Amino acid sequence: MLILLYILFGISLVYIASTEKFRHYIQIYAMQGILLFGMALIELKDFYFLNLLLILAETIIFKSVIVPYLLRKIMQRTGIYSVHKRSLKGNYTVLLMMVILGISLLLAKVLSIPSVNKIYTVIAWFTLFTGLLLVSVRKYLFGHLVGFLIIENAVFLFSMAIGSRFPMLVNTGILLDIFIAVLVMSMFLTKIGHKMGGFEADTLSQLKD
Amino acid sequence: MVALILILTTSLFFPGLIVRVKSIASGRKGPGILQPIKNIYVLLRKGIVYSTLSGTVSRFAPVIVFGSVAVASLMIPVAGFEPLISFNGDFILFAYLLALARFMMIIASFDTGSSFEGMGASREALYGMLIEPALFILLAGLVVFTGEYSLTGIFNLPGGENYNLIYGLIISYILGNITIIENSRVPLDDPKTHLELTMIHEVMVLDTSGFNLALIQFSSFIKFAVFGSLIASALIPRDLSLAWRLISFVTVQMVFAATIGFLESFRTRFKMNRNQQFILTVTMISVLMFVIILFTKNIF
Repeated sequence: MLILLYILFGISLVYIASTEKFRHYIQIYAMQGILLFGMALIELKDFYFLNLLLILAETIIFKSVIVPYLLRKIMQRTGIYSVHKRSLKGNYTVLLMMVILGISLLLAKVLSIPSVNKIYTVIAWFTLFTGLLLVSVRKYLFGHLVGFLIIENAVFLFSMAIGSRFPMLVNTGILLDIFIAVLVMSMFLTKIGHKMGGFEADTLSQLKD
Repeated sequence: MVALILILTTSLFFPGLIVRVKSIASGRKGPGILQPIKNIYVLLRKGIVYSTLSGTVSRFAPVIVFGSVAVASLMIPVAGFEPLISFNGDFILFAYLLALARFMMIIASFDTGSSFEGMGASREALYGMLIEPALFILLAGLVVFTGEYSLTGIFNLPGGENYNLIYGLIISYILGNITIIENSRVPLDDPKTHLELTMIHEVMVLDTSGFNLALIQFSSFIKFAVFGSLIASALIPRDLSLAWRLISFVTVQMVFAATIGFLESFRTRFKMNRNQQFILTVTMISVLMFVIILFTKNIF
């Protein structure tokens, strides 16, 4: 069962990197939340209520319900539904994903720790680089938003890879960081983006005190 | 021999089933299941017309296309039944026989001297080049997974506690997409379209007629049956009883044909520039599958 979740998570990353529709971003991100919940549930060793509640809140409630809802609202308010024409084409992105998978394998091999589950490390590196790829090749801020959220998923996977050595509190802290980043960008998109004359990442550089 | 009979029987009904599902999905009465085969029978009785510009390649290419696909079909295990040809490394020959068929189609369409056919041929060559790695990586992954080097060994799925439906489903997904690309179906190409600028496979056979066209169309039907049989072999465990294996085989083929029919009914065709991305995505999923297999076998 875990194998299926790994593969589905990998496939979801490939699709999120290659798709050009923002509603697909949202759907895939929501699906990733469910997949992460499934992985965490299977891997969970200390099965106590608070731990389960935290995982449920982080994956299903935050990643699959709240964030997709907010992203959908942002998409509707900005009226932008697909990536910028100047963004890197989907076929080049898929080719880059192949390179990224190779790099992830290499890093997992080089930085391997015996007690750490290597397959999680590979998927976590792969997720991290996919997030970075989205941030670097997409022109609109919406793509960057999703990129940051994907990076947070990578952090979650890293936390699962090292299990008990990575306390849930640290994970929640990183989640909060990402949440603030997303909130700031959402405010830019929904409140001041119109005044700035666009929703491209470059326009952020015009912001002053 | 049973494997070959099953593949040939499937190839007779497969395209008709797709057409039937499409007509039901769009609310039409539509043709019968045997209509595509009846069309081939009509074509077989018709004479061949050659363009004055075409050379000898156009004359023998359809026979080689049919021959290559027919020989490739002899290597396919079907639901636990042994194929007629099986040896270590036969999957390489299988892939290259399909590539030979594609190559002959391409040079035959160049041979006619038509710019439209040349355009279709160039697209077919590009898509063929992009999808071949997906097939090879998938087969390589299965070689690692099973430790076997022939198609019969690779697709000899164990039953009981060792049965792994998840791998079967993922293999089916990849093979299903390869079938769509190999046969130039929706969302890559639409066999119903007659706008030459957007055609791939159909534009390559514009100058082919009569007996030759029948051979090429029947080759496409066999390809469907071949990939459908591989999917069935990836899903059906070998230690089921004969009756159950046959029932499962027919069910898988019918579901596969119906899925293609439904997809063609409700899915729009991609723009030409999106096709490469679609094919590369299939290849990428194949690579992912390979990586996961490396991990599960503790090779990496």
